[in-house]
Amino acid sequence: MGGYSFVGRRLIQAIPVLFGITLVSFFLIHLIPGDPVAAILGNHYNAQTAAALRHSLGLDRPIWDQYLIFLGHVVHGNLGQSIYYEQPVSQVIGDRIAPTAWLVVYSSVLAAVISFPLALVSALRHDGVIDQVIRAVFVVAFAMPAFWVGIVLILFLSIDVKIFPVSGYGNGFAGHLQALFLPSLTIALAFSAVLIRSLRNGILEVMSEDYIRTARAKGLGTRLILLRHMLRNAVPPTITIFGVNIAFLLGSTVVIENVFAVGGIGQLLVSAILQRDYEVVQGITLLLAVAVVAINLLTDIVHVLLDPRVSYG
Amino acid sequence: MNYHPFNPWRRVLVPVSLAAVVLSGFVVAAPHVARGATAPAQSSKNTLTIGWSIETKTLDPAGNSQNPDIWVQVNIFDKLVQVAPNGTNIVPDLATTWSMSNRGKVYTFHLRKGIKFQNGAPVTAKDVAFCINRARKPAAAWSWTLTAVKNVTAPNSRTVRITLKHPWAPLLSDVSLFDTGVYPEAYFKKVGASGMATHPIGSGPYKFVTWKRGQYILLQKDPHYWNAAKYPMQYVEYELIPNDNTRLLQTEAGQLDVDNVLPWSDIASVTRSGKAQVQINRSTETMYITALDTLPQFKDVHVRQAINHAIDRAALVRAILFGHGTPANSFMPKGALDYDPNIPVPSYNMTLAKKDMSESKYKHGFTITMEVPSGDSVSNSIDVILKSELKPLGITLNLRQEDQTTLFNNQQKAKYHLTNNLWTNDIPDPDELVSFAVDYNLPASRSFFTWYDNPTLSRLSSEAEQTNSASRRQHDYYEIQTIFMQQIPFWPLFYVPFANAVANGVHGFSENPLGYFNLQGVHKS
Repeated sequence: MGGYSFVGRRLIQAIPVLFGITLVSFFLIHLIPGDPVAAILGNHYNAQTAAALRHSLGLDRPIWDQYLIFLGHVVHGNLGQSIYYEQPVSQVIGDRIAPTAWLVVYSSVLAAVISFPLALVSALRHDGVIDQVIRAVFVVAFAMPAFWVGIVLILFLSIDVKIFPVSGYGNGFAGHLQALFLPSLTIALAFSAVLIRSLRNGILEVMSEDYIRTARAKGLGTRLILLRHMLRNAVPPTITIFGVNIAFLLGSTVVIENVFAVGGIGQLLVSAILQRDYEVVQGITLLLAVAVVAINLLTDIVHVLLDPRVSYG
Repeated sequence: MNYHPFNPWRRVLVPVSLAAVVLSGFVVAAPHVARGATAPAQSSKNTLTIGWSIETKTLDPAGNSQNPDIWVQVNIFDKLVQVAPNGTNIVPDLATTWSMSNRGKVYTFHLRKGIKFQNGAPVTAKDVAFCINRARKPAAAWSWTLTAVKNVTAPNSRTVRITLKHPWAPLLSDVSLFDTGVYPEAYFKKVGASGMATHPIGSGPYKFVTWKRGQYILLQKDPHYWNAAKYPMQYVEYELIPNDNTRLLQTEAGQLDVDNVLPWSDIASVTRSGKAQVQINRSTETMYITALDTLPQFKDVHVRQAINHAIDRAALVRAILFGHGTPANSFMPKGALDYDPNIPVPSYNMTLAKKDMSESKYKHGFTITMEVPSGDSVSNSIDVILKSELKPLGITLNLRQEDQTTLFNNQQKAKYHLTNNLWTNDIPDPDELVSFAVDYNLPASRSFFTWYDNPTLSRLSSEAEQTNSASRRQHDYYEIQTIFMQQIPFWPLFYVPFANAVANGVHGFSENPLGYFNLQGVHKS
């Protein structure tokens, strides 16, 4: 029961957060100079057609009116109509959400697959040569700009050795797995740097705990000690870091989608900002905000499940 | 405290090698993924893939089409007439013959026999009239090209008659423009403008198959097209690849056939490596610096001439286009209809420039803001060079980056000082550019947003529009270019060719001077 009320309370707390985000995203995009009407009309702009279009889009109303209308729509689950694409925002976003979702999940899985074994080796051989190499390599990977790492991976794994396509989204499950491997790996490399460091420290701390010595003393096998005693205690802090970083990872898809031509919502967001497609920018910002809130909530729940010392307080 | 009670390697190696096995499962030899679901016969051998950086928005010819829309539309729709691959001649398309009567005020077109739309319906004169009439409704984005048209009728199923308000020389060019593309009236009435924008049906060489937003558009050859034999490729796929490096790498890897936007800095290395063919085609693209001529500084012709002589056009071509271009001697594109080749390129002469400046009201110069399109490396380089070139004249340029939307908006509202601009013709007739660039009476542009009002230029521009005598028109256009270069309301810099990287093994691809891809005869080996 405690769990339900905890989740309920967290959901209620999310409402003012999301409200604040609608406010900020709405006014930020409206405050930057530029005019969606000019962007739509292009070379064919003149005062009359511009005024007519502005009126039909409701852009001639006072800005507070526009905000309230937007908010009213959002409450009813309607993200409005894209000014540029002349389609409902939900459809514009819906057409491109899959590649981004794939990218986020795929890169998270890859990051976990890379980080766990390497962090373990690093911790168990700490301060040794292998540990130093792993840490150095991932600090460099973390410091490199993602678009550069992406291009280098393309050069090696798509051009020299033709294993993966240079770009695109692919077709079908296997197609997506193959096409999105390089962009996901690019994201995962930077992500792993953070995870390895956190997990390595966690394991090192746990190693010096008395209960590990006790477990050894009572003759438990190494596998049991590792899985039941060490990892169980070392992992929870890393889970929190994992959750927080998935939120950052949503941001890095904007760059990666551009380099690898994955037509997701990151790419859409950039072009929508440039076209001053107010409704689409607001829609995506809101969606990402909801995703971040949901991921944080999920992280907390997982944390509680893994660590009995933490409760739904 | 160290803890080494066991050999950790065994435990670690298991998950690592497992991961390696899982990952190697994704590795498939053929990198090109055929989209088999909608078109089972598609393969990399029979598909031409073209990559570009901006997104397609609408496939409705009468919609608000921009370049990535237009380049797809021209393969789906036929027009009454079309532009030949050389970019200057008008040749038959749906109409095989046409004639002019009533002193140039009536055009009669005779349609080809037995033509069918991609849905099997016959193409009738009524469909053609409906589509042109829709394209010239004031709400249609390109309707300004058809303002001289009084009405379009279909006296019988194979005759289209266009009646004009007054003689209008550019008419044939205007009905070769993509916005007059023909689709079935019945289908349009069923699906409306939004249906046409996403699921178009025309009578052109390729029919629409699918459109994955933000990814690609796939077209398939229509075997019933009247000229189908000339189009060997079964499929054409337009891919959205925003990043310049990615596009080029794809082309070099053989995963993309055409990289439509090849950066100038990459041409030498691609040529050297031989991993792809570099194709440079003549274009009508021209780069300019434009100014708001109602500002007192730019109202002064001496200031404009001083700037003109301070610009080293040849050096710009070397530095920015790596030599792949020509200094501009006119605001009209080199090689285009009625371009005057005899006008000299303005001399780069600082002595002359300083003399002009000393004759102006701004002997000691002035400070002004230059709005630079952000993310546009060509304009950025031009402006940095320009800043140093104008310094000796006492003109200080403050460079300010603006995104395209803001920049364009500022120009439309006459709220800027100086900025970069470029132009590419959409039709062979000079009228499109000339009226846009020098006719103050055209409200859509006000002399390329310079607000430069020269009644002689406006008069000559309208005169050339309304006479059908080719020699008279050439005379008018030559005169316009001469006056322009004397008065220099804004500064033509250089002519830019089109550069494409084309994958090895693709033959016959070219881009015509108007920017349309010529897919006739394109094949792969």
